[in-house]
Amino acid sequence: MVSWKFKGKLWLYRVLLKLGIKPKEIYYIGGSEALPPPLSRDEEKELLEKLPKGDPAARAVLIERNLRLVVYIARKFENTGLNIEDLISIGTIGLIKAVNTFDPEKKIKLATYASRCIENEILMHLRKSNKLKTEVSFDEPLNVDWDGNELLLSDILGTEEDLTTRGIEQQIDKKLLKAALEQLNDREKQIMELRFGLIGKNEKTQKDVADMLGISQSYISRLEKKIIRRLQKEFDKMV
Amino acid sequence: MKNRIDHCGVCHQEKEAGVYLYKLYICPECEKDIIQTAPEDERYQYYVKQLKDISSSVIHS
Repeated sequence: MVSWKFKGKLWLYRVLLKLGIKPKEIYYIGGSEALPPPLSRDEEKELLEKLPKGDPAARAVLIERNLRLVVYIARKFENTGLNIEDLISIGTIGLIKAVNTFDPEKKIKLATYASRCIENEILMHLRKSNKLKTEVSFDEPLNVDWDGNELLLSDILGTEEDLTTRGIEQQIDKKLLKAALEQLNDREKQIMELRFGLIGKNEKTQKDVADMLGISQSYISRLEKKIIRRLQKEFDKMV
Repeated sequence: MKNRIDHCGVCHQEKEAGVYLYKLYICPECEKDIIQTAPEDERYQYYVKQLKDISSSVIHS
């Protein structure tokens, strides 16, 4: 049974809310420094009946009187690195969401539902914070000089200077190499193609090439050096 | 009875028909927005900051 005193306080609160006055004495038991006490079962029932009608006074009292729950749950997360003020703020957001979305028709206690919402709110925030820790902003200041100029991560990031021209140069080099190879005799050309995989096949060792052509590896080695020198001369002529 | 206007502790505008949470007055628009805001949203951190007015009172009580 809800006491007349409580009903009277709720009525007075509603009137003062309309007037835009916050009466501390209504539910700050023990003065303004005391945390609002939890509601009795009957008081909570009375307010929950008013909640679906969108009664702001009932909503406000339900939120305030469950702030102890927020503090209790927030303290459980104190070892996560977030300061207690932030945890209580986040928990309060969870509590506001809980009271606004609570359905009295569902046979679940407000405290149970609110606890889940408060915990969930804190956990979601922690998950987001952990995700952000692995992300780095391009605008992250790395250092500040004597004049206060910041060196940003974006200042030191970039692509290699020749990134755009590298592909074109490679194409030109290929053409030059092809033209230079045309100056070699068939045997020399075959050695280079086999050794350096110039015809789309894998590079072969000097020993492999020597075995394929039936000559010694040392002869292949000497021939290779001679051919490369010659190719170099052909290149020099072309560029 | 006509609602009185008060200073919202979240959006800092003069609004009516809000609720007092501890020592913080929250207008209906801000309350609704807080409910619909997720931790990923940019304005979430702002609400956390504003609601510290409640938490600082709570801690010391």
